[in-house]
Amino acid sequence: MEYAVETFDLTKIFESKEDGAKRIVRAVDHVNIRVKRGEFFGLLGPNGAGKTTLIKMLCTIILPTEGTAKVNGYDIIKEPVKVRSCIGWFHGETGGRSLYWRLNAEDNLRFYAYLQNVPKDVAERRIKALLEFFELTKDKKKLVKDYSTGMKVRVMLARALLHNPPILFMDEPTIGLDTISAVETRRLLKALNAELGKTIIFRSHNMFEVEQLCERIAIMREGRVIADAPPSVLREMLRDVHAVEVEIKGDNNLSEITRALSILPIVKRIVETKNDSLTITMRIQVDDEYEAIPVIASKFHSLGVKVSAIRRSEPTLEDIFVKLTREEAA
Amino acid sequence: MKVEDIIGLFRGDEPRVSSETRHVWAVFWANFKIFLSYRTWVIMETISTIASVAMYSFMGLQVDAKRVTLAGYGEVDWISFALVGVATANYLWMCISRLSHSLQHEIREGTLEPIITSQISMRSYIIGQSIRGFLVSGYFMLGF
Repeated sequence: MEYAVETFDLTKIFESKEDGAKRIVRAVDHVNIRVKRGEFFGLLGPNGAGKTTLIKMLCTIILPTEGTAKVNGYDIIKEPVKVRSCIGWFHGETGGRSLYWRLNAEDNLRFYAYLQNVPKDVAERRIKALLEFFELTKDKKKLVKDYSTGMKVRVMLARALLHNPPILFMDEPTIGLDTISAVETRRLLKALNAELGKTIIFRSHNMFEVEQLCERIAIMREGRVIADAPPSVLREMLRDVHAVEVEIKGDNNLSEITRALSILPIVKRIVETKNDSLTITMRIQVDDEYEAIPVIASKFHSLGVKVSAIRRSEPTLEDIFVKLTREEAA
Repeated sequence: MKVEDIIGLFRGDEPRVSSETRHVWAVFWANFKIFLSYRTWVIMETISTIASVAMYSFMGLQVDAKRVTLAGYGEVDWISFALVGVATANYLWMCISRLSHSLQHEIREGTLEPIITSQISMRSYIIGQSIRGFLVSGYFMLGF
């Protein structure tokens, strides 16, 4: 079977000098991943895990130090031009810096359409449609320098799709987008994958969207892939993790609540606390959720805190991510 | 425009035809448009061109053939020859420095990376950038 992306001990080492001493950083360390054609593949990892370096190597922007990879069957070292003909690359962290700020959105897209060998009439049709989809038609003649970050991100997304490549490298595609644009972008990526069979290598810090979109996820840490499985399999790894979610309303002293809960023997740790001004939601990791629910409810009652909901919580991708990266670090 | 319309648009791939001329033109056109969008830059370039032309014309007036002969250079107009040499060197240097400046700017701003991932060859990119540099410096040469 030919894969859309296949890496063979792909490694990138950066050398730098710090206080006169040579420092070696293994940004990507003997990575072996295989992404099937038409797969929606997620890449997760903490900052500095090597995700962007890996993507840049696959997009032929930087050369590997060791190993190689094949993209759409082409070798990234020996056949970079062929690799480039079948990829679309989006790098959201630049916040729109990778566009020409002194050109308008239309000219930016036209420029890249020319570079990607898209015939003129096809390019014009696609530019018009993409500008409309990303709600930029009204501002298409404005220079990009006058755009908001979200608008620049949308132009960059249009640029990555313009030449209709079979493989898309989407590095933080929803960064800087408002909620509606982010939802629409996720829908578009999902449809491109499901209906047109595009392979998508997706990187995001938003666990929710990774879980929602990706069929398989690789988790990276310190340049290495520490897990590579579908979200359901990853979730299975957390069968022993039990959690309870509590919603409380009103003006409460959160630090006092946290302190009171932490001393309960059944509570392992408070995973996260979301405070949206009206409701506070706490995720609490416990030994046994069925035993913990009455104990926690009674604690809240004794503290005089009004609980609006208390329920068993399914492990999330975030739990898996935290568990795996912590285990590796240990 | 809905997701379905975009999917419809991308259904069935249109053949792509590689053309070096089109690549060169795209780089030249984009960079020249960017250059024109900087009013101060255009004004400064024009002033610099006018000042250079004035300076070389003034020097040319100072060293007519009679003075060259008096200076012991015989019939050979060495100083005029040198002036043309300096002006040509200056012209070429400006073109190269413009190209180098553009490359540094693209690297710093992050615009070079998407270009690398596209179909353009480095040769076409450099030719496109150079044409823009030569065209702007061409003012100077024509003026001279």
